[in-house]
Amino acid sequence: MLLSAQHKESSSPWAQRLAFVWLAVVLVAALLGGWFIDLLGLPEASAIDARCMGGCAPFRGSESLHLLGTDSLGRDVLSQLIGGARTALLGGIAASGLSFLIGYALGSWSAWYSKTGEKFSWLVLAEAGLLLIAVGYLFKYDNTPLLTIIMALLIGGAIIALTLRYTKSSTFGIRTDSMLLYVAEVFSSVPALLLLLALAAMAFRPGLIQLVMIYVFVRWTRFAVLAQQEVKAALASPYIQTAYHAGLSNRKVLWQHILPNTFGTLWVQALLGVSAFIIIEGTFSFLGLGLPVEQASWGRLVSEARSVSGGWWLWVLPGLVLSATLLSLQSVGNSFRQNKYS
Amino acid sequence: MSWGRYIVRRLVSALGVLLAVVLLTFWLSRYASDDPVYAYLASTDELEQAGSAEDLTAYRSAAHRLGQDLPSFFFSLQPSHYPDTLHLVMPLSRKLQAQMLLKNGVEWSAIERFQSALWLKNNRYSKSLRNVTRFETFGKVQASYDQDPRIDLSATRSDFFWPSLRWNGFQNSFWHFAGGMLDGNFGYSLQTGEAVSTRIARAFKTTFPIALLALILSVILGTWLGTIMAKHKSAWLKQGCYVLLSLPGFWIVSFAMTQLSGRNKPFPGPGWILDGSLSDWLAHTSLPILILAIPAAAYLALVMDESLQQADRIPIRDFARLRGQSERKVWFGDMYRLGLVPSVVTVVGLLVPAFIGGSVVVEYVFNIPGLGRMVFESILARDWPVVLGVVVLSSFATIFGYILLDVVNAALDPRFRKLTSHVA
Repeated sequence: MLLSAQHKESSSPWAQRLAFVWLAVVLVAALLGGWFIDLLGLPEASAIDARCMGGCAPFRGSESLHLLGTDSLGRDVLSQLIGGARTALLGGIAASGLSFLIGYALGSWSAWYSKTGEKFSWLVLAEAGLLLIAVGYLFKYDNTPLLTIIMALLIGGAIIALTLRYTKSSTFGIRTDSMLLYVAEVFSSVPALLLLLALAAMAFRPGLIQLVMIYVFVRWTRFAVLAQQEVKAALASPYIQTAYHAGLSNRKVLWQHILPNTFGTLWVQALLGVSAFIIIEGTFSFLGLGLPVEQASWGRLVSEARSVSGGWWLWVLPGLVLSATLLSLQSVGNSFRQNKYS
Repeated sequence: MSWGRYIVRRLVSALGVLLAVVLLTFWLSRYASDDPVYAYLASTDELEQAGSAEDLTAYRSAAHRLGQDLPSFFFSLQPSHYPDTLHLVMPLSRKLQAQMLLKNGVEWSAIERFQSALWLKNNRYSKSLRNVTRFETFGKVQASYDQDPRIDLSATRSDFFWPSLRWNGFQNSFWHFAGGMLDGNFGYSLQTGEAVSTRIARAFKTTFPIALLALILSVILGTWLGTIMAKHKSAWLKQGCYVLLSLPGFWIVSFAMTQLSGRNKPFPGPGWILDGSLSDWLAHTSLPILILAIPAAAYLALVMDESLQQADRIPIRDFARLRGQSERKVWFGDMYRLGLVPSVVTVVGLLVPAFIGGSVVVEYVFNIPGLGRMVFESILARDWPVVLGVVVLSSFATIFGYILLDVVNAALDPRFRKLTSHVA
């Protein structure tokens, strides 16, 4: 409901075309940035120009020309902007994509198994929990034979399947959809930035992969809840009923109707997830957490503006790049949404 | 279902969620990579008083105070060859080494002999208090110590463990942590040795007026902008709000700090040396308040515009005009009631936790000794009791804020009285 203001936003085709072009530019910079830096003879993103310690203004390079100036350590801003595109976009695509996949799988699973109002017996949940503990317990030890783990999974799975078979209509249980919503509520009740910061401080080595994993751990529930809503809405719609009446099997309904029809609206949310990652990554780098110093990042570049007095190029340029990218992501997302419903 | 039953049900479910949050944060803090007892000792200067670091009496008493000498949970599921008293092995680095050896199937008696020989001989107490070696491997231990204490660790390796479940009772770390919270005791800060609740209360006193003023300002500004947007259907204003929202918070903070504050600029530079007068306080906090309020106002304006336009589609406005009501009365009597209540109340409810998170960056840059800055510094210093205290308290506020939100919404707007909870 809160995001509904953004749902209805329609931007002009020109703005949308511009957004596509800009995102393409950023993507090319992310993928081929290193090659461009070599080709144009720009300094490396992490190379320190000793004469530019304290920051050089644009076009005022000493030995190597710094087109867009340097930061306080004498590192080229243009190369860092290109390198930052890689960090932001590739990290964002990985993080958002992964949480999208996990959330989509679990959300649609929970909606699918709650469609008839069946409940999972508490017994099944207890068994699954015990199985999880047992497998985790066995996995802790490197000298446990793989066969034991496979046996535990098989036996536990068989017990769970048998219980499922005989406790299907149990009223003493919980529906899969509300189970997921409970988990989502736990995650949504902790302020996200606090949880992310605490997790980042606990990561033993700062790095992009750690940041992506933390993001996925905190964010997957949002996608799961959205996917659950979409799949539930699809299940309730007349075309699914028609498909069942036409004699389609469960599997066909799921793979040929529900998943293709819900995917379109959900992957737009994944686009917005990319911009959320860019903001979080920037905030972390700005605060000096999360990424190693050598890694180019737009957020760290913005934080440099505080250490170079009068360094307008350090907040204007990354700010332009950041807001252009975030606006483009939103605009592209909107254009896909409009196409679907127009 | 009556209102009373509905609220009781929501409260019970909220307690469950809160318990899950406490469990989650407790579990996370167990994986922190420093020795909390050592950090606590260092903060209270008891380390120097204790004389040589070999003497573990000070360490043991501090561990007892922090609840670190207890088993971690109500029950434990351990391999049967684990000793009952593993939680009494101190310091933490020695316990972790023992755990690692146990995991590799070494008998407890062999470990005891090995460790007492090794730790006394190399005087490792003094060295290893600080260096918690969570990633010490079996091979490494074997390679470096096999010759010296002359205990063959590999001889006792077994391949198969049977789990044994043991009940620890209420004397456990989790209950020490969670039960203490019920009494209002959140433990002791590892940085300063103060009670966590004192530190949180002090920081909250700084943050609360700023957040409150920002909230009021954003509601006034947002309502005003949203009304203009809806009345005049101004596309430019709308695009402006989108651009403002697309700027990340840290960029706005950085821009404001470098361009708007300092000498010869409209606002004083970052710093928190106040003379106690209200005007001085306002001078120092007005920029942070504006930074917090303006993006929130833009967001609120967009949401309000949306819901006012929805309200406009209902024929209620035409009907009110038909009855001869003035335009002013139409807006204040009907449109606001329809458009304002759901959007503003909900957004305000969501802004409160957002201000807790958003204040981290603002307070970090402007040196305001509030909650956000305290959390950030505690995270950097691995002061887990403080972090956990703030996380638990803020999720408590969020959860009960949501319940309050539902009740307020239902009281103001009959459309919300359907008693639909998002959790079944």
